[in-house]
Amino acid sequence: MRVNVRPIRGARLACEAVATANRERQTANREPERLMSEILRLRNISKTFPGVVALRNISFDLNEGEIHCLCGENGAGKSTLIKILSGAYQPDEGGEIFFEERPVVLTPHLAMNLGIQTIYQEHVIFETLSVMENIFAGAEIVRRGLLHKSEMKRQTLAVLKYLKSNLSPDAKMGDLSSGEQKIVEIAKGLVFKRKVIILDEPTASFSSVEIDNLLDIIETVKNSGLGIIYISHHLEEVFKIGDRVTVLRDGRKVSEREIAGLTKTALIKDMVGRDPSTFYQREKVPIGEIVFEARNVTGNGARDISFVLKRSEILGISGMAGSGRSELMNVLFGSARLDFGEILINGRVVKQSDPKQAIRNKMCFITEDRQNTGLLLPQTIAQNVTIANLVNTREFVVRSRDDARIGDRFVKQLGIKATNSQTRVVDLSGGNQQKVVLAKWFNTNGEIFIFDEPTVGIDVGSKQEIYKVMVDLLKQGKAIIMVSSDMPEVISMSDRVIVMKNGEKVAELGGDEISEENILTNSIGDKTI
Amino acid sequence: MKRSLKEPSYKTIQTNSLATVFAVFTVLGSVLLTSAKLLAAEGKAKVIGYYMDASDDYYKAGFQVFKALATKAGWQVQDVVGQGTAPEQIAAVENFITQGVDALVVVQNSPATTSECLKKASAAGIPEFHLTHNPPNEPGLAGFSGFDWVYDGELAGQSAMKHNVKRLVMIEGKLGQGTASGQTQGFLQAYKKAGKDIGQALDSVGVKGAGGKDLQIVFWGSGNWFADPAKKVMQDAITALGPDGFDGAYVQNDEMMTGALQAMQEAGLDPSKYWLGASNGKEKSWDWVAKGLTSMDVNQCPSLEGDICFQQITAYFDKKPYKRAVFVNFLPFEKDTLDKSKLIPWILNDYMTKREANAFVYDINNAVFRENPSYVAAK
Amino acid sequence: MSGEAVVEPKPAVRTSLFKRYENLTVLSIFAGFVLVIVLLQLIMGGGAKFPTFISPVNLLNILQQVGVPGIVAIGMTIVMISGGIDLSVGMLASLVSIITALGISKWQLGVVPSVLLGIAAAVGLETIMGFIISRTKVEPFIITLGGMITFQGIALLLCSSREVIMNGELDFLKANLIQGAKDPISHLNLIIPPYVLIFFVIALLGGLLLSYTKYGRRIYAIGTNPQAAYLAGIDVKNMKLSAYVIMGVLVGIGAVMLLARINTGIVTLGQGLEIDTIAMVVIGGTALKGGKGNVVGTLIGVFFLGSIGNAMNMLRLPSEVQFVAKGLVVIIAVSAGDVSNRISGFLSRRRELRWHAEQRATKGESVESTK
Repeated sequence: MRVNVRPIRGARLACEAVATANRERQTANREPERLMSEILRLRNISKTFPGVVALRNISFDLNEGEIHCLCGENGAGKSTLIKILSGAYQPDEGGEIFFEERPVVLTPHLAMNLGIQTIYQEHVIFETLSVMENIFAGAEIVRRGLLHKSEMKRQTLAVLKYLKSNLSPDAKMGDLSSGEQKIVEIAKGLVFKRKVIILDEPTASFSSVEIDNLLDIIETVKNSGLGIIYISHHLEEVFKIGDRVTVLRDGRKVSEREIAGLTKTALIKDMVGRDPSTFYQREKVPIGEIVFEARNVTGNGARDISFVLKRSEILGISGMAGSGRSELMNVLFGSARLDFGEILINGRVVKQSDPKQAIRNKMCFITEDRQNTGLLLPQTIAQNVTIANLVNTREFVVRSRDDARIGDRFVKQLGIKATNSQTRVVDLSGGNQQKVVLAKWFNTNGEIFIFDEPTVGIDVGSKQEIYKVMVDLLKQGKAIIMVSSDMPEVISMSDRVIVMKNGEKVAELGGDEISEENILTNSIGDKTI
Repeated sequence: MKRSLKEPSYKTIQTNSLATVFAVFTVLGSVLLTSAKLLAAEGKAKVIGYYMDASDDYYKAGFQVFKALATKAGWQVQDVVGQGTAPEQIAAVENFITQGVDALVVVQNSPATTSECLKKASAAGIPEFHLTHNPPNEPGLAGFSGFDWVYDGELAGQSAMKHNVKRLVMIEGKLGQGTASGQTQGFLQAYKKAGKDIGQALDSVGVKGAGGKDLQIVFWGSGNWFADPAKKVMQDAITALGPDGFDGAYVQNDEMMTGALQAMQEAGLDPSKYWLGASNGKEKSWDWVAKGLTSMDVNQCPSLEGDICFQQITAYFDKKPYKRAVFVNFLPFEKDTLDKSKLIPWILNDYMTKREANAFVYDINNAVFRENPSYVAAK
Repeated sequence: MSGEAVVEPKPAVRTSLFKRYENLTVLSIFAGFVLVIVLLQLIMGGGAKFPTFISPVNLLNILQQVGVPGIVAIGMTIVMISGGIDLSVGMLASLVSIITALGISKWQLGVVPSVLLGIAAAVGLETIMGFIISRTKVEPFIITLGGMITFQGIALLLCSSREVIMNGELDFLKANLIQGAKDPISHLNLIIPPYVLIFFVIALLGGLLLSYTKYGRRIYAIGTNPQAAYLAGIDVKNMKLSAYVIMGVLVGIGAVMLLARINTGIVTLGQGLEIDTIAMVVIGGTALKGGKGNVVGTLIGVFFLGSIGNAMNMLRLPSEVQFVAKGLVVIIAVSAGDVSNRISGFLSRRRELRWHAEQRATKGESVESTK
């Protein structure tokens, strides 16, 4: 089954695609053994960013009519790999990409023309337009200068029918559920006769019905000759539809196996298995009494969470993306509503309905997305450092001289690389920006710290500095809740670990129980291991 | 530390260079714009500051005649047009005073605003002349030429009575300048003087339904002197009253009449079946009356206002006596009294041609230009 | 901390850097503009006549003409820095003037109570709008636009579409404080009325509020990044509301001043005020999206805009040309500022990066990868 390598522009008749697909399927079924030709091959792919090596010597290939799954923790390098495949990133020197056995240098434009379609987790859709308009957005069928709506509708109906979906072409995209929206995006791939569809964590926040629906459709699509790369940490799905699975860890390819005959245990073993002796060794600090407690906390997606936090302790919160960890943190800090349950600080029940009260109760929240929620980028270091403490000071008048002095003090104390505290935060590097965020909270003299992904996007050198800072906090008698997707970080820094899944707390691990395998098993698998 | 406070100097260079670029651009632009003016260097020529409340072709017509005559006399005229707000009038007058003009001509926004301006003008010793809208009679007012708005309204009222109008739609001009209220008052007065019963209409100006047995104002509205707003008022009136709900309409100027006519025609009404009266007497109204679309109009040409004002100022400069406040002459006409050759044109060239040919009276000293009795000399 | 020698921070400068240099751009452009007008006047006068544009009497005239818009512009600065905007100020001023004028002339309430009533009305109405803006996701543009139309309607209702004439009861607000002073060249009277001084006092208070108080800090924060501000413990909702309340007070005061100046309560009193004040504030360097700007810049913008109209007048340009010229100057003023800032920002950032690179090179730092 040879397919032409001519770049495809604009829309093609879905009927044609369907007919060809049917024909091809019949041909395939007649043949005892399917000749699978290779669509994509990556060889020797590496990708380095300043301070971080995201991918190391990856090789990967994809055949027609195959579903090749990609597994790995957050930060293993999956998104980087996808971006290279879609042409958004260029691999380092020495990396080669072959499309239908011909070498190519991918750009987003070329990738699209060749027929590589990426469906990201974050929807890139037009909510106010219809299904049909979304499918044909940017590639509308035009007749004599006007939109040829009847033709577009016909093709849309044809492809939806092929997918056995009963969606209407006129339905507004914004009214559809996430599952249905994903199906529309897949339909787009068929209408434009794509060759490769990459799905990045497609079933995040899907109901089980939608998951089954999607998986059926993907199987159908596979039968029309497309190659599918399916990224997910939901092992049930991987085992249901995958033909092969590749595991990435820390930018390296750990294994590539056929699904047939594979067990979950073996797969998980591939995903873990770091040498613990290479982890950061944290200084131990004697742990004190309980300073913070959550009882049956429910709200913002989190359900019935209970735990305690002790003085000079780091409580790690682990779980896959979408498990509700940051949402829980927002409830604890007062920036999201507490529907049910109680929060106790030093044994007293507190009512925190906004961050102002939380700060007064000596809580600090270092957010996940420092640029959007943690910093005032156009302002100076001094201004950022003092902003959260306004709640605690009494004077009405503010002197920039005083702020500058405070700012300078923290610049020195945390080793922020700037001339002085008058530098604008937007001009600092990621690591230094994170230090400014830390300074801001230290300035409030808080007791209970919430760190949400404290070292994401930060180079290794700065990471260790921040770990040291956290240990210093413990020595001062503070307590830390740390949400992290970085497995080594969770294991090396936490005294205890809570694992969350689907908004619930599924495990609490302490001491020797804290291991990659235990954490991962609780995060993704069912407990039948 | 290499990086010191050198940052600002970079910025200063940057901004200053930009300012220079800007300055150069402006110089070039302005030189081109004012090249015409540069030729007419400031010498002993009289400079007139001319302020118009808004962009209205009525005011423009007067201005054009004034400017034509002034230019012939060797004067310079500087015009400023506002957007109908009082602060603009005050600012314009202040700026003219600072420039040191020899005389001011103002079409005012409101009498109270003018009061402020007169104070400033008289303190600076600059004479202030007014056109069109009635200024307050205060020191500093050197002259006023306008139409007798009340009489204007009376003429319309007389015509309406002749045609047995009992239920009237009143579409007034812009409120607050004294003009519209004058016309309204005149109209009602005409009925009253003839002994008709108009109830409390004179005291209840603006109240729908006010009136008595012989005249009832069934609809009030203001079109602000412009066609579109007047059209809306007329549409609302037709919707509210129905085609048989009124006998006629007094639409206080031709622009508004244009809008009112459109509204009527669009609603399917035949204008010739109603009494329709307006004022202005523009060329197009001559055709309306001739065709019977409207019943009457009054040829009150602003060009004549400007002409009279020019004569007043000339007399002032020559230190000769002149009529201080003048009612400019106007000619009412209906279909049977229409004589185009006698009517005064609005269009500048036609006006000047007819003026040369003495087709109408324009000399301020002629008796048809009555002295305005409300302006017994205050100074 | 991290092993290598920590760079000792250079002690920060006394006053906030950003205030000192941010306004330099618009100031230079304004200076350039003034220079051009003076030159033109000199050319036109053949070198003999003193350029009246910068004569004392004209400068004071400009002050009087921008005094009231200036007061409102201070309020607009605060609102815009906080990320909002207010289109209703013009009609609100008209409404206040009508209420106050009615209070004095028709309802016989007395001067002071009428003035207070007018200001109270402004504060009340702005509070309502501010409440809606801070508690819902609706754009301030839309809410204040609706306010503008509503206020006009209320104003017309109250005065029955006619003007309300006063008898000079508020003349004390424009009494000449320097009675007898005369311009040295033209011998015209020089006038400094109280409302100009009030303008300066308000400007000073506004500037101090924004730069030297916790309140000001919070205003800048919510305009820069409302989410981050919320998480830092700032009451974003009520801060936004407070900006509109302050605006209400200033519009009230400004309207009373304007009423004194023109002696009539009339619906067109504030017409166009919103456009003028927003233009002044934007020319002065305040960004429409918030988080940036200061009172000094606004002051420059106030005088700049005021002098454009005045200058066009002085140059004897025909009225049609005046409109075109005014528009062009505004466009140039705003965009030149933005372009210049971009160039400066780019250049200074490049210097920073180069400095950091040098630092790294001299210290022998290298990017480590442990895995």
